[in-house]
Amino acid sequence: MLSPNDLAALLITVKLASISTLILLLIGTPVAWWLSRNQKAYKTIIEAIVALPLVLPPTVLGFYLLLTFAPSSPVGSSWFALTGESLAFSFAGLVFGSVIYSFPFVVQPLQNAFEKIPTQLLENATMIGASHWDSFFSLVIPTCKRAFLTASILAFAHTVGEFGVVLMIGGNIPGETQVISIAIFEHVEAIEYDQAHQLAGLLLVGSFLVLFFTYWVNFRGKQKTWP
Amino acid sequence: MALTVSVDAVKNNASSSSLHLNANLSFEEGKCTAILGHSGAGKTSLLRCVAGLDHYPDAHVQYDSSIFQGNQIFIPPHLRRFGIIFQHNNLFEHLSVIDNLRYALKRRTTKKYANTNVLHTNSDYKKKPLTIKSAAETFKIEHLLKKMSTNLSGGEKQMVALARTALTSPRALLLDEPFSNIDTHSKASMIQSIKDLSRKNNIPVVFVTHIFEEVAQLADDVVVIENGHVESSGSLFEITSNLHHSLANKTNATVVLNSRIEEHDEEFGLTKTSINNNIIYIKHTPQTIGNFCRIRIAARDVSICLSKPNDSSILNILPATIEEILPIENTHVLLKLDLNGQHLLSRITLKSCKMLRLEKGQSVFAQMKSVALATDLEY
Repeated sequence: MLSPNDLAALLITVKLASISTLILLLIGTPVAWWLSRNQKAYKTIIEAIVALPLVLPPTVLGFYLLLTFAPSSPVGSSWFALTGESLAFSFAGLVFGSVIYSFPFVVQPLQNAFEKIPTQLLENATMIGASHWDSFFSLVIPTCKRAFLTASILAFAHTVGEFGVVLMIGGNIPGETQVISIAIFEHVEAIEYDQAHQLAGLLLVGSFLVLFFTYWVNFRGKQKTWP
Repeated sequence: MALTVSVDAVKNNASSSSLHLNANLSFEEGKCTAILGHSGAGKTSLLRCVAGLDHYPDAHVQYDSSIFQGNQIFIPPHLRRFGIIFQHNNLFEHLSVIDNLRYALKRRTTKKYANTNVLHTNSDYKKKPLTIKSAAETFKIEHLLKKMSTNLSGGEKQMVALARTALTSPRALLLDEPFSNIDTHSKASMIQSIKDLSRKNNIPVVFVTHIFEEVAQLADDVVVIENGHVESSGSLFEITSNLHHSLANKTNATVVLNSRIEEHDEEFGLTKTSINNNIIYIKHTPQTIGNFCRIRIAARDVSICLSKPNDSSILNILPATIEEILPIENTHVLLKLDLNGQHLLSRITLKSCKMLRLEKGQSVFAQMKSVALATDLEY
């Protein structure tokens, strides 16, 4: 069985991934929408910024985040003023970092799906009497539901799998900021291979099941749309 | 009462050069106005301005006393209650046909939308708004209701789109080349449905196209757009018979005439029609006697005789007066002939014109080698 510490790491990981995914969908959807409907040249700057976490080593991202979270920085100090807590080495800081780290994994699949919606289709909804919000919920979300599923799974899985950024900004506080990937690292360092096996195996099987489910749903969806 | 638009603005397009859109138009109730022009002339831009899909500063769009744009007012397109049909992408493909119709019905009754409703009092839909069932019957799409939109033919898709638009009780109908992807039969029945919709509800139809055939079938009025401005406008009959108009000044010049169905000649497969007491035979058409139909006569199919020939194989020979003679292409002349008020064009060689010593005001006989119905489903 899992030790209390390992169980706590598992719960923190699931909590972190769930909250991050929710926030990512809320922020990523409007950004993806804006990028998909914008034809101006300057949008490429935003696209490049969004894609940065894909190429940067997590340590680079973690380093800058750590500087941002410092109580002397504007972000760190406003957070402290607001909540009375430090952002660095806290769960909130982890959520912050995860959202930035997984941002492209949400924006890109959504943007791709949004771009495939013909403008005339949206204009048709408008002329029938649907406001922008109405047509977004009645037309865009139903047409792109598979993209939303893909984006959510990717965001969740990517957050579960992160290591470098978490280590840099979360420290390694058991029961507070210690996630599974770091708990495994700890066990290996301490030559506790049995515990490492348990957690690693759990992550391996869990990740496989999630990805398999996603691909299966996508496969079935495609069969339905193009018979 | 009419739907009016006036716009004077430069449209900057990322892909092409900028276009100065300058037009001042009025679209009559219960009538169809065709906006005809080459691609890039600004037809679609004008339509989008009326719809409110594009925002042109200082444009003015008004219908009766309702101002949709002007004097700091801009009513967003979803509150204008103008129906639109594009060339493609009209139906929501994740929905079945019936759900596409429900989508429109659901939004017709929302409060904000209903408040903007100033349908004409003579409108059928005002008296008895369409339901899914009555719309499916009217537009003959009952057999399609259960199907997914992706499994329809091009013609079926456009017909469903028309039914869906009708369900919103539009106060104007805007069409952007809606017949480009559909077969002739679907086109004819769709044209008939559009005419019915327009006449029964007394709503203006604005119809953008570059195909004259479609204009001849559907339009009552024609506006020709060139480089963003109105080159000419008038009724279909005036425009097609105007010698100095770009439509007439071509080898395929064609006039459209309104002809009354007189009697059917089953034996020879003909229908006798009349234009101001002049008889014209056309291919048999199953229409009620007394109705009017549109016929098309190409200028190159009309020849001239000075006296009435009694031994010609040509059936349609009418007395006419030469109203105007216009030399074209150095070898030919275009004649405008008067048939007691309606007009006919004739394209003959310059040589024939000289030999017959034709001149303005002269009485002649026009022989029509072929007369075609503008459409098989006409009023």
